[in-house]
Amino acid sequence: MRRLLIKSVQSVLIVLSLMMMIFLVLDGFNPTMNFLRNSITKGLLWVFSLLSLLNGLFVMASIINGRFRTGKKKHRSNVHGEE
Amino acid sequence: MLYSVSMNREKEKRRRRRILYESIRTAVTTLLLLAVSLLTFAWFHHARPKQRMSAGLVTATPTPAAVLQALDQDALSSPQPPSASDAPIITPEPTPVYIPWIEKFADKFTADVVSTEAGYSSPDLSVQITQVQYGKAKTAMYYLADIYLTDIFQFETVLAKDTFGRGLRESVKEMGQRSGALLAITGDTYGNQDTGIVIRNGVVHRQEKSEFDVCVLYYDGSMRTFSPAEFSLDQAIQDGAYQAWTFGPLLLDEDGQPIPDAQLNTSKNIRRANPRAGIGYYEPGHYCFVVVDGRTDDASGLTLEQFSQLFADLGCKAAYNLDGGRSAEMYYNGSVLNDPYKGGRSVSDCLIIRETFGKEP
Repeated sequence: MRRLLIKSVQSVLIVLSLMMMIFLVLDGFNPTMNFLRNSITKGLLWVFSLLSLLNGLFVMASIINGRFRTGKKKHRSNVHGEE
Repeated sequence: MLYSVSMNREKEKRRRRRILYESIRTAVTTLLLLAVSLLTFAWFHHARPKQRMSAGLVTATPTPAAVLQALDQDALSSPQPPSASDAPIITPEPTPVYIPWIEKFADKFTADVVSTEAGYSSPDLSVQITQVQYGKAKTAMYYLADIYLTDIFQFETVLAKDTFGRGLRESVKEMGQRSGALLAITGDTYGNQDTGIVIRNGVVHRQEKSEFDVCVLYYDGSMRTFSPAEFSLDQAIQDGAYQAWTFGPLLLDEDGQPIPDAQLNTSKNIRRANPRAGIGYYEPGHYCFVVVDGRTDDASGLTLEQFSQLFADLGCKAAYNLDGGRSAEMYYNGSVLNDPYKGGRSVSDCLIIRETFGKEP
């Protein structure tokens, strides 16, 4: 379940980041179409920011988790008299 | 041993194939999601027809008598020449006199209606169309409509579907035909934005300023262009704003001089050579519409700096850029004059000149 959630968040983040890049390029060509300063884009930017934060937390949690696991393994190997 | 190595290779191959398959599947899913998201965005952003709440403010409608009075007051408030005792005698400046446009431009009008491919004249309206080659190729053309009015109400703005809203679109030709216009060009495509001053035929539809320059046509026939910082809606209403467009940029400075490329209030991409549409102002009652074809091998269009220079060369006092590119279109007497890029496209509004002679107001 957690894996699916992380995967979904990352997929949505990729789509949102591509959308933002497309809007930036289009805005450069035709600013009067107002691709960046409208309420929909502002809403999408909020979603993008919140999901980025969530994704960042996931990544940090997995790194911290990974460190502890590695630490445990090292400890165990020491206990078994590898020195 | 050999069998085991071969098995391992087979496993590795299968693993790689699975990774490749998974990567392709993820990429395709992401692209599909992106396409669906962009289409949904486009639908809600500009395609979905939606009526907007108009601010509904009505600007003041000064009569010619009020204009005359205002001119007289201007004359009274101008500094008086000092008396002979303490300064040399200076000839006083002539008091401005209001001359009805029908008298002022009398030589432009005809007793009967004369309608040809090159122009139209009647007892109260004159529109002369000139086709000018601007590049080396014969197909590089711009169209100039020289307009003389007798009444400001001959100059109107038509909204697509006759409704102030978003995603409402019609071609310039459709709007021109529906409104009975003699001449029409693309407007400011206000429907693409949530902000930007919109005043149409004396009604303020949108009051929020944007970062784009504003062009105001007043009931007295004068036209002024403003940077966003200079513009005040209250002042415009007080001064009798009849139309206000937000697109731009403004193309001439206060002295009617062209504006250098770097000082034009728009992005670099917009400043490049493109098909163009714009309005020029000479004096109250005398205007011009210009549409430039472009984006073809022969005719690239004009840069905004060249467009600015064009209006300066025409002798305009103020000029303003309207929606160009594929939208740039000029309609005259039942047909589209120019060759819009990819056949043109539908827009949210257009500027029209309408004959009122012999018609009920």
